Amino acid sequence: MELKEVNLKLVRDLQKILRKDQISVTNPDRLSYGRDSSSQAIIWARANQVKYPPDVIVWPETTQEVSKVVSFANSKSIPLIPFGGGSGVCGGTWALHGGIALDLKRLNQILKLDPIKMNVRVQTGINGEIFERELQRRNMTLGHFPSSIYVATVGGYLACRSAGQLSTKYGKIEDMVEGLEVVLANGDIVSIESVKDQPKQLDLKELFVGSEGTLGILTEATLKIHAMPESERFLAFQFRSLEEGLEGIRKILQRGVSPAVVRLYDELDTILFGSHKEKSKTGGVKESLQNSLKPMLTCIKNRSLKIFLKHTDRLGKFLNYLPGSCMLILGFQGFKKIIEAEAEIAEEVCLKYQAADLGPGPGLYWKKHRYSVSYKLSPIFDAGFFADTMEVATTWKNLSNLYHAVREAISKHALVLAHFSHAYPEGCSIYFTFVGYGENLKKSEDLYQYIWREALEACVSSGGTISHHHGVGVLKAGYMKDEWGAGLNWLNRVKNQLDPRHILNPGKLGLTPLI
Amino acid sequence: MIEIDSTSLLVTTDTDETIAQLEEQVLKEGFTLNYFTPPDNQDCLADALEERLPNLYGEAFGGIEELCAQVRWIHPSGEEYFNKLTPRSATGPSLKKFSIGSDQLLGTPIQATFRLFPRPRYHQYAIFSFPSTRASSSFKQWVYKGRLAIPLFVEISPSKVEDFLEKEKVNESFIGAAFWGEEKLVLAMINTLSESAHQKKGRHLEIGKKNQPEFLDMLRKTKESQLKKERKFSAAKEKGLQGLRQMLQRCS
Repeated sequence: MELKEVNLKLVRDLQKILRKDQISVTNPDRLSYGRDSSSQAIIWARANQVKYPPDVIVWPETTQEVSKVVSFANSKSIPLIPFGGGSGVCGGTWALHGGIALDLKRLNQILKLDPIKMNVRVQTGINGEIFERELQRRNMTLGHFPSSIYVATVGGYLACRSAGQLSTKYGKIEDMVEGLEVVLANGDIVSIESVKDQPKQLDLKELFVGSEGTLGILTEATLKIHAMPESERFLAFQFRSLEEGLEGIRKILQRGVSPAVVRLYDELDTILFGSHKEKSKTGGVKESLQNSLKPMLTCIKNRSLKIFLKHTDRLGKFLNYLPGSCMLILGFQGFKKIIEAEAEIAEEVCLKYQAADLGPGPGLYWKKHRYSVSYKLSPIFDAGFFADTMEVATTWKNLSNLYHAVREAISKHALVLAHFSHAYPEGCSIYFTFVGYGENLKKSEDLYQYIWREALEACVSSGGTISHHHGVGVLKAGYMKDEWGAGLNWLNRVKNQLDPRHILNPGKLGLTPLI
Repeated sequence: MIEIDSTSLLVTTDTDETIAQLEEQVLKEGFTLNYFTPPDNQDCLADALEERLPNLYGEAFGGIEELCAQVRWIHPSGEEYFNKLTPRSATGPSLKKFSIGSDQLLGTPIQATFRLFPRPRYHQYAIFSFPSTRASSSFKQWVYKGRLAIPLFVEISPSKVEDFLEKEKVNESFIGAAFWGEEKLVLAMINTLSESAHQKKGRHLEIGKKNQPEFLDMLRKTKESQLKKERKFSAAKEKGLQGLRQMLQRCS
């Protein structure tokens, strides 16, 4: 692949700030940093394309070095793209206009763990799994377990308001932030403290968390931590319908129960989950259907799926005849007596809906395999398919409406399944997974983008938020006006004030570019 | 009050009402806001939103920024800003959380949607009594570490305890607590706390029904004065942020 020639003056200038080994302009590095983990980037990469490589990659080792690089980029109006683990799925780190990729992974220290205040000060370049392992060594936990934990950094968590698999109990990352250190576009380093219980104080951290590197570079964070739970318990139930399963979750949460894990699989996802297990407990017709679908669902290379996906309208009709039952997994963590009471209430609610008790097995199975799913994408792409996920959210009142609207929009063009996780007393998130097929790169790309447009429009018109925890990046930028309304004008004014030259991650978050 | 969504447990209201007025209305419908500002919830909702008035029950239910699901602000320019009504989102900064407590940076709040909780049928009040302040501090730290969601949990002076304990007063350090919600959960929490208190040579004492309103009032007042003490915002923390604040003022 031919890359644009590097401006050597830029490299020489950077060498005045950083050591040579902190700067790279090699093609392998530029290609690596020109993509993230988004399906669009994978589609391009498989066609030997990296569309948005940076001109140069730098690895600062201190906040002061970050500040110097930012000041320099600002003085020369050079785009600067903060980069963590590269696990984003929305194009949030694509160097749309070239420039400097600012990799923060060398800012990877745990600075202070305070067992009295129960918080930890950490540099944002630390890897999520290493960070969690270090906390657990001290019998503490962040309680944040995203699927990307092995790749993502704390900075990445914060940049796009990440959610972990236990978020119903521990919250999303934004619920854990007590303080931040931010480098502004002019190079100023600001330290932001919590304003909890402080009236009339701007909560500045709320401006930077989720800003995807467009308003400032996050270099340190103080995060709330928890003692490792004394006890853990899993329950699972098979509901007669998706609607009953959703009602079950809603009632459990609204009675004050906070399970750590809440996962309700829709009909197809329930079958897929069952097909992975050695022995299904459901039996009868359902089991035989599971068995018949198993080859289709697990052997994605099977030619028949390609044929199915060419006729998604017929596939959709076929899937409408699936048995309506849906599986719910609940996991509880905390003090033994309290989680026993929580489990008792949850059980009482589920049994009222005549849901079948599946015992702890499915929950334990899920826990064992909970990070595996992300690694199953490669064979799908190998076989010429594309796959992606879309996470939306809304209130309970609107949830079924949103689910059906988005599912219908996607199912016309791809195989789609969903689960409901990240539940709250007032609403819930829906996590759609879809698999599509195009005969060549052009067709795949066109179809992929068409599906996203249709799905996002269905989401917007049904009143859902376009992202619950993946962020916006480039993928959803065109829908920010629908999401924010006039508020986006205010956000643009904030951008113009904080970063008047628009050097910080330009082209992301739907912000108006400088003319 | 404009509308109650009893499925999502949300209430939408104009912000010229007081918190007490809204609470009274939702109580009639079988709900509570679980938001209490001292001395008696008489603050207007608009003020509570502009100033981010602390919630005395915040440890269990969160501050107003968590209890509020959506706010509509009218900016002097005529623009109306509001966040999407959703439990959480990842679409940039949180306009809702940034705007609550921002005084009038984004204009005036005209309408808001708050979370509702089922009106609790079960209440419990307790004193945890310890032979030393060291033991009670250790208990407090254990509760904090366990992040137990207790609506009111405050250290109380021995003089205040006298009114609520009928018999002997041999111990010297006391913590008062109020619990409400689902009976099974409240009981499980109290059992868990009692066990821990016992391990620290403490005792769990229940408050009799007739004394409960006074006890709750005393806990609220104690919590309020505790919050005031914690509210001393350090001037040092302000340093370095002034430039940023000025930039944000210019955006409005």
